[in-house]
Amino acid sequence: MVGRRMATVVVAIALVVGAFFLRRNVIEGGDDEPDATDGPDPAAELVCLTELAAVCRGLGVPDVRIEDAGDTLGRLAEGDSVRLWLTFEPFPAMAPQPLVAGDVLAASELAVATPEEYAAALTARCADRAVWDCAGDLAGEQWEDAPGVVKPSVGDAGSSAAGLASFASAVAGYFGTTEFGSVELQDPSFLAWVRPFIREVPLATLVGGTPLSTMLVRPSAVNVAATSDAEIAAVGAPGEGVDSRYPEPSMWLQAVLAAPAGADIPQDLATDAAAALLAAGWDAPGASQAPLPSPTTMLALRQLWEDVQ
Amino acid sequence: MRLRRPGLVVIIAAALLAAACAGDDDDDASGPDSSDLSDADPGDCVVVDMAVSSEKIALLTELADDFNSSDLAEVGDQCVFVRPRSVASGAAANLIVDGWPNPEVNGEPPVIWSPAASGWAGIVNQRAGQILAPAGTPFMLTPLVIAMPQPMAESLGWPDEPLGFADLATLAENPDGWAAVGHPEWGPFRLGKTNPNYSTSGLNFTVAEYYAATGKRAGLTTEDLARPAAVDFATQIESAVVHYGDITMTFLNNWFAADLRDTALTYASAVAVEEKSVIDYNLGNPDGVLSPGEEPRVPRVPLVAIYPEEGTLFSDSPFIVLDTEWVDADEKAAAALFEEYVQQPENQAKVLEFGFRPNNPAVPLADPIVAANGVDPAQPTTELEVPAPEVLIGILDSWAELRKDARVLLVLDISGSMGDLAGGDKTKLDFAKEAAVSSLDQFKDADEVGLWVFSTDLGGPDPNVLDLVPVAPIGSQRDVLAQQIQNQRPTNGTPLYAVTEQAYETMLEGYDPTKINAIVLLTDGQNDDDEPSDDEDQFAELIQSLQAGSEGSSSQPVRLFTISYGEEADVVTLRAISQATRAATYNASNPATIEQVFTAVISNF
Repeated sequence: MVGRRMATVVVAIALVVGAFFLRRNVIEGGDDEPDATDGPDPAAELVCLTELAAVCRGLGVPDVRIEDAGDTLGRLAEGDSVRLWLTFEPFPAMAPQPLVAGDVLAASELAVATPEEYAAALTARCADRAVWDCAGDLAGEQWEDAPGVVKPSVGDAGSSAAGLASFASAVAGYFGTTEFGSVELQDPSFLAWVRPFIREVPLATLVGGTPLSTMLVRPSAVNVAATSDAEIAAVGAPGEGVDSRYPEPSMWLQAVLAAPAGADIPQDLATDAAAALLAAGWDAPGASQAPLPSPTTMLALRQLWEDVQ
Repeated sequence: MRLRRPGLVVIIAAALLAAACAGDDDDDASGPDSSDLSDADPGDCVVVDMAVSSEKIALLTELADDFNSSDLAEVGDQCVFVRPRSVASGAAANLIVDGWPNPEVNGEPPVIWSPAASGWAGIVNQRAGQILAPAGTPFMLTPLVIAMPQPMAESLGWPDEPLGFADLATLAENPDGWAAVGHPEWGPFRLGKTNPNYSTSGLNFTVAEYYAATGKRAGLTTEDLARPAAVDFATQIESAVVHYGDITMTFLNNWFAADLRDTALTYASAVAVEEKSVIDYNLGNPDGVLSPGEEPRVPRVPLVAIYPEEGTLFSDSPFIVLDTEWVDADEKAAAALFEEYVQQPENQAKVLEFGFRPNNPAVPLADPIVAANGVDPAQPTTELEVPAPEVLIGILDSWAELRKDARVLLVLDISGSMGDLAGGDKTKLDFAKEAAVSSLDQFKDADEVGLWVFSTDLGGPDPNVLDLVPVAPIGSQRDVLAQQIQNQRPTNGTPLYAVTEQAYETMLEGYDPTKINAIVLLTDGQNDDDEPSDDEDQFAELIQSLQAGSEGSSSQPVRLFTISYGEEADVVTLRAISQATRAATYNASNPATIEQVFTAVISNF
């Protein structure tokens, strides 16, 4: 009798353990709990660009993943899925399986910031020239009428969406047009210009920061910084000591929500995101806001950046 | 008892008071920091051990304390406990590569490593052949500067003229020293610089030295390091070094002590430090840590920060979450919370209070980074690129060859108490012998090293001391030294004062101005020579003699580095002896730490 009871208990324990095993390894796939540092979180509802982290956190979405565009594109290339992506145009179309972007939620013009004490020197050196074209020529040279060396930075175009956008803006400044493609990017004169431009500010200098935030704490490391109106508004610059100007030709960051083909973009989320962006210093979308180059050109720019790095 | 000479009372009192005021044990070079949280009980929390460079231990301890008691310190349903510990950047780099051995001596292996500068992570990854230290977000900034007493800087044209490494090289090369600029009373140009293998300011200074030698600001290569002009330039600057060492606080404390006696201008002419240290010094707190009851004292001669015109490097205090086998996912998640916490504007404001530049642009530069404290918030204007890891390692290798030669006498206590068991079946002397032998490899062949042992009734011509190996180039006698150290056995008493005086006089007789002249004295006890009645006289005379030989423009400094070994060592007396020669004392109260301490001591050469 005792033996049968014991056998029953053993079987019951085995069933309970088996149920846990089944749930953990079969139904849930056997993975450890996901965490912020241990690979992708498949349950994340919304993936946001690092540049939009503050807006994203305010949307009230329970599962949010914030990462650089380069990381998201890398995950998508490895077959991961993204349910919704708050990003810039044309990044959704740069994925191997392009995502479909909704309407532009808000826009912000790309800009160039310098410490005030360098502004006059930059103007003097770059009169009548596109600012990025000129800054690229001067990269690494001594400033005239200002201390130190010309240190331009667009950020990390290999991983950051704003970095790649600003790199596109700088290259457009060199060519004097937004109409350039992979053929122009092979031009030897252009390559001679772009290499010192890319290499003057090592990426290690920018770890954890943007060109603007780095410039504000360390102008000896970056003193011609790519930025946007929205970032300037977010950090409270230009205020004391910072000058900003718009490079020619003009380009705008355009924030969008994107989803896999066939999936819906929740309208209420799009409305909330647009409102949050406007509150954060972004502009309402408009017809005259020149977009970034095509997905193909952006991918070519990214490849060029990584090759030169 | 009565002293024969009333003046001796004053000398003894002053020496002991100065030694005591120089800080408690925690201020000794390489000593543990008791103000940290490293011994606190974390309960059942997820523990985030941190290894942080010494200059920010006070700040991070305060931040960790606040964080641990806040609602933010939670991962899932578990609390988080951040536990910072002070570990020199170079020492931590070595420990990480070695798998962080001996936690009982080195502390628990860290989850977060915050060296003074990101360059150390490159060195770790290069040496390990894998990424153990991924890029970390900078926490705060402070540039490398050349600290110089204001009158000296002014004599070189500061603040109107830009100054840099070329000026240092010129002064170092000139046999007239400061007389060349009209100040013979300041003697030769003397440079204080830490050992680049251990200290970030030493590493950054050496990197900047090579950049200045090549005229580059970026892209330094291993080929550049081998160029004869670069080697000559670096050798010239290194020739002016007073001694090296593992922490800048040694120089700053010595400078401050010299300032008290109005001899600051002849102790050192310039010291490579971080900007924050200039602020601390001028505010009367040279090591940046105010011990309980310690009152800041504004120095007679303030320092000014020279931002080298050739460019400089920043210490950026990265928060590196290590990718090692001892760090798990919960610890990484907990570490991320603390990292986010320290970047918040209110906490970045604390960074500023401690004299560092915040990394958050929302916190603008303000007091104490102001001209009144000897620094310039608008500087530096030229920044140097951190070289590639393989170049950094090349710089360390190159420096090991061209650094200033040393002439060192090792003086080891072999008194009876050294036979006490100190762990397992090993005696204190066993541990000391192992550490001393192992330290011999840190000397380069051209360094001259000798060995004395001391006790009482040793039976030789001098009953207190045996001159076992005369001071001579170690390249030809490394094995002899090792063998003689190994042969030692515990004997009798501890004639500390007599032997110290004797060793000092001997080294002074053979003084070589082209070398770092020094004595390393290890003892586990107090003066015990069977004649206690004259101890005070002996001590006072010793201090007087050491001070007289170490001060003044024409002094021939023989630095006396002391190691207080075991619980019974006379820490205050040994500190006074070291301080009298503007050297440093090291605390190895736990015999298990003696190897670590020996390494730190030999880093002075």
